[in-house]
Amino acid sequence: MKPISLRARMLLSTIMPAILVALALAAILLDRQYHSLDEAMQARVRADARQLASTAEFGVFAGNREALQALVRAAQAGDGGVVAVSIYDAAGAPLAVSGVSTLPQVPPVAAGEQVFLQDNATIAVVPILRSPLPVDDFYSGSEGMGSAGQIDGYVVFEMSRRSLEDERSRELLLGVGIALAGAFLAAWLALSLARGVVRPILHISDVVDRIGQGDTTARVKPDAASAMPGLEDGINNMAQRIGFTQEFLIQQIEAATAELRERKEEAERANSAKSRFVAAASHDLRQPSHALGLFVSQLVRLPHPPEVQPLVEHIDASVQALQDLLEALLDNSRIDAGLVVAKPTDFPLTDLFARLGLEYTGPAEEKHLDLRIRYRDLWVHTDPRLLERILMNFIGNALRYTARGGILLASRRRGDKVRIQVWDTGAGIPAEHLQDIFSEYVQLGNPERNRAKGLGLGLAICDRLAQLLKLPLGVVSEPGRGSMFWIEVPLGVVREGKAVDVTALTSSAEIDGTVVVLEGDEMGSAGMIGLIAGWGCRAIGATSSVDAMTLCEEAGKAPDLVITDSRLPGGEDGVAAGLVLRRRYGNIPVLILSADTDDRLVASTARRHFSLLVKPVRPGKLRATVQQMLAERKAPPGGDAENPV
Amino acid sequence: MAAGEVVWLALSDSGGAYAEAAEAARREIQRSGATVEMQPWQQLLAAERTPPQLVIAIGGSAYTGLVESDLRAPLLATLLPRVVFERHAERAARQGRAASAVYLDQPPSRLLDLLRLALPERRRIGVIFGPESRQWAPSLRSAIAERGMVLTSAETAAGRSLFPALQDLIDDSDLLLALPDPYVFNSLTVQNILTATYRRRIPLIGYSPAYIKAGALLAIYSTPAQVGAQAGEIARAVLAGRPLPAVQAPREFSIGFNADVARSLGIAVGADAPEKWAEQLRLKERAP
Repeated sequence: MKPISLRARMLLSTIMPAILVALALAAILLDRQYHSLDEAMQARVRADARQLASTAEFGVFAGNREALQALVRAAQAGDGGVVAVSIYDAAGAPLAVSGVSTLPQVPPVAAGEQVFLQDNATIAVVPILRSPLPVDDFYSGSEGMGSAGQIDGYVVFEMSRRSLEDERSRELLLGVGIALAGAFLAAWLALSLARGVVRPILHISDVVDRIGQGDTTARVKPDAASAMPGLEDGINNMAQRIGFTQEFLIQQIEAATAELRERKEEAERANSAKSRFVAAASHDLRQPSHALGLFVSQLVRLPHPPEVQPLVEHIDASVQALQDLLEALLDNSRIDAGLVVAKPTDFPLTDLFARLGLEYTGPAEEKHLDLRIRYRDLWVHTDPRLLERILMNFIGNALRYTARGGILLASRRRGDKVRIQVWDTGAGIPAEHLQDIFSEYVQLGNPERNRAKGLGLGLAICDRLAQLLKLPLGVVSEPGRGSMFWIEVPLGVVREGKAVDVTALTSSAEIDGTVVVLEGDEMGSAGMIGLIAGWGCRAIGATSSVDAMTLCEEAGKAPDLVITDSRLPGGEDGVAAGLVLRRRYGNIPVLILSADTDDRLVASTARRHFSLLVKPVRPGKLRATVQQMLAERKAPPGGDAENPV
Repeated sequence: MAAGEVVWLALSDSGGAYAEAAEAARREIQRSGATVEMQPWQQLLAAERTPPQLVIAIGGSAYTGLVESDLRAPLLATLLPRVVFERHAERAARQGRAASAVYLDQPPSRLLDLLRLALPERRRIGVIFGPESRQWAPSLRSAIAERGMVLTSAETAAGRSLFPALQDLIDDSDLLLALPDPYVFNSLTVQNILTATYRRRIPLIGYSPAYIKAGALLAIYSTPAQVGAQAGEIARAVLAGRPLPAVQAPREFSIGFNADVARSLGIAVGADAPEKWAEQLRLKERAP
């Protein structure tokens, strides 16, 4: 059953009793009215009959039938409702009759008056009494005879009940009308009452809903006509309290949040300060580290007595580790300091893979590992420098943790994405650590924190760079069998330009050519010249473009490649020097080495198609770059310059 | 003197006309010094008392009750019509009791003289005789004839309708003279008789003050006080040693006249006429 609405219920509860009362009242009043009408009619008939009896007294006494007939005729004519009027003598014989009597026979004659109902007529039988006149009885001798009424005859008065029934019908109509009016009045009252109760309840319900939805400012509007001022006040008080409580909680939360924010900002300020410090310090650290790397690399190539050989190798490993750590630290601090900005572009994966191959073939051979690269002619769209940094970390990581077997660099197209994978046959990573390895300073299998195994920053940097590039990366690993790190990049648009002939790039290939090295730092210059000369190239060291041109004149050689520091003694700038030499010797490649990594320099070198490497430059990297640039000089470049980190 | 003697005044009922008559009688008796016991007759009979020298019955009921009692004292009745006295007179005589009365009926001469004085033009005197009054018809007829008037009469009997007799009579009469007869004139018949006479426009002559009130033109009667005083005088005479006299008509009388009825019937009479008629009647009666 459908539940009755509040309004309907109130309406019912108010109307029903009112209707019942109205009906009961109407019924009672009608009944009474009926009775009183009946009584009134009986009284009227009786009174008419009495009057006639009194009038007819002498006629009956005198036996004057004509007079009596005139009387009964007049009595009937006087009232339309009178059906018949008759006068009988004391013995019951009719003396005068008017109208058609409904009586089948002479009425039962008895003492006293009688009123009875018969066949829709009210009939009164009234005796005709001799009216007593007091005479002084002692004069006549009738003393003690009494004057009890002597009955001379009877008057029978018959009155139709039709007028009574008509009157009753009118009364019934009136009664029903009054009951209906009462019901309508009750309904109207009930409706106004219901409005007075239901409307505030609906309003209160609405307000409670709003409070429930969190609007603690909702209040019940005071209604003067409301039947429930207490409830309204209660709701308002409740809402106010909830409001106060909520406000108090919000204030507490805001206070706590503000405090947290302050702490966080404090921490961030501290971190930023640290990063700025590291960034500032990096320039000073890079220069000697760069030179040290070059010297050690040179040293390793020289013949040594057998007892010195292991020592030299240790020094080399230590320096490499040192440079890795320094690089990672500096990268991390630059990301922290917000100095790394992604600049996505379309480029061929082949070039990137070729550079990585050049760089890591040597280190892999040294560890007797097989580095394989599966080239595919795919273009991707992302920041090439940052992607290369990520892949370098993947490969470096694989080299570091793989004792035997090999490393595979591959790419696989998946729809409009390319997934780049670095496979290794290393120790693998237990499943429970797969999530941790991208956190800073987490190293597996290095509880003694062996610095040769890195600082644990590599994968964290990868993760942060991938976030910067908005690229997904991940790892699949099976302990004891190896790991596969991957990163997914969007497919790029293929542009014109010749891809590097990767087959020409091998680390063991001889390098031939004249390389001008412009370097203000004596140690750095010496290290570089020694290293380059060790590769079989002719290296001419100078400190300015003019100096370089002079020396080239003296040597009678035009340079095939210019490697210059970004800052030169005497205030000359590496880019400007490169331009001077280019003007002099034609469109020769220029490689800028810089301890600084500001964006203006990056933009400036890119505009002039100069290559840029940031110190410390590892010998392997330097060799790969130089080899590539010299090769391209033989086959003049058409693509963009490299954008190393 | 009659000191120590006792007279009972036995009333039909206490109060009203009976008391009025008894009071008048007592005043007369007490002038003789006799003791008067005045009570409703039943109470007087119920108590053990010294038998009185004389009992005066006031009213017909008292008289009837005393006649039927064992009391043997001389009995004087008053305030009753002659027919009532005579109804029991024979029984009293058989018992050997001395009984007499001062009745209320006016002597026919007085009545007829009054009619001649008051209504000289109305000579046909209508009378309805009933069972009690029938006996007076011969004497009345001769008295009427003596005065040059005509008696037109009708008779009715107990249980018969009065109206046919009345109907016959009033058509031939100039007035209707009511005589005391309970079967003809009583409280239940007077109204219709009056209505009938009025319709025939003839006056009714009554015999008590009540008739005047009810609509009779004229009435000649003796008041209770007048008959009471007359009875008291007789009592004094009896106490003084005289024998109880014969029955007698009332000596004193009054005349009642309804001026409104006279006006309705078109009878012109002066305001002081009734008093003059009474004076003339008295003068005539005192004349030797």
